[in-house]
Amino acid sequence: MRLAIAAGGVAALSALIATISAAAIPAAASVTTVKADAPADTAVVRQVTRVVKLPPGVAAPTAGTNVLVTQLPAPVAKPRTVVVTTTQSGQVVKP
Amino acid sequence: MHAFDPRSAFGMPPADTPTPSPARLVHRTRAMGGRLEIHVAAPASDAFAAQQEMRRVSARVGAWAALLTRHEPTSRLMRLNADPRPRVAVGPTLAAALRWAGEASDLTGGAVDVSLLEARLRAEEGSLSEGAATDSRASALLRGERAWELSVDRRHRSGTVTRAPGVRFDLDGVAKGWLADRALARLRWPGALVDADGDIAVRAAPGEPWEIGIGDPRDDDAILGTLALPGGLVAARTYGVATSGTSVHRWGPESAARHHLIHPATGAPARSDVVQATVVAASAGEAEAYAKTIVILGAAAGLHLVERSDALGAVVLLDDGRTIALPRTSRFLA
Repeated sequence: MRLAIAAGGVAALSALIATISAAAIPAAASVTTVKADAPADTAVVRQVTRVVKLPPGVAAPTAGTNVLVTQLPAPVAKPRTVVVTTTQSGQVVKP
Repeated sequence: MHAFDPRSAFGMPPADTPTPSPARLVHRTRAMGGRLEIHVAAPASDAFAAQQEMRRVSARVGAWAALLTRHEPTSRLMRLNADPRPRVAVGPTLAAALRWAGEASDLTGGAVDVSLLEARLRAEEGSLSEGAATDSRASALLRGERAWELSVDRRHRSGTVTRAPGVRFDLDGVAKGWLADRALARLRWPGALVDADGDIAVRAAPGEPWEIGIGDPRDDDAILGTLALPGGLVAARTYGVATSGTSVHRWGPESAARHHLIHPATGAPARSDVVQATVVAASAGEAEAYAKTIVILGAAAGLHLVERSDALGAVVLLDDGRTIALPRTSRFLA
């Protein structure tokens, strides 16, 4: 996987996405990517999401290393069977 | 005549005798300014011994935490911070914690830095503006220099801290996971879990997985997902799960809120597209360090670093409301 990511080529990326989609991602999940070598802000994530949606053979705007991620479904009500929860430490300040 | 069952020679019940599942026992208290829960899976016949052990470990965690807190002026940590000398001897527990802090810094490329107490206090007071990277401390960090060193006397397990002038330590960002790991190591049961205010060290016995919800900071009654952590095929397996984010320890008006996670390159609260990051790793200390790194560096750079690490998974809540995960996490997502 890392070799394909390091190559940064769209063909390799597309094959990788197809592989992961078939093998590792639950049916409800979708795929996006996060560009890793540019300044870390929200725009970067959205930019690379757009790149992934380009048809095969179309070059990415910038070369570099990508990190593939899966998108999870919406949050769910906490099941009663889950008695341990990992949280941020301290009192959460809700917006 | 009954056939010989070799299991009986080892004191084991016959093969057709159902093995009772161990009961899940829990001990709850408060430590480190938050909750401390110890869970043990033990046979009902051992419940009393398990409860005693949990109480002992809980007391030990409280004692360790009292040495390492920055909220108590007489703690070992605050005595070090108050000491004006550049070289200061420290005891075994503080030396071990600082040693781990150095390892966490190395693991995360310097994103986790325990020598930023001044910057955090300035953030709390509101006297630090974004981009205030001009002081000598931040400049040294940008040159890749660490502001402190620890030498350890292996025989006595104590140490000596050597540091640049003005460096003061804040272990809030690394101590809980580290303490959870130490506490778990003192529990002798194959199935055990230590929850140090959300940073969790867990040991799963074969066939006895632990399920851990990932809290949603926007809704106390919701979770982003559930992690199912299995034991090994023939032996127990140890994990760490930790969560970090910017939803707690916030100060100032929401439009210009400051938080507690300081970017070491700027000396100011990190500007990040990550609201919360949860990491699964081999230990709670590592999980805590990587989770903080994702928040501090942002999703792109943070996940890039964690993807190349030994971390077992990561789940990230972005500021646009999406929840994303490294693909390797899917094997744990129930």
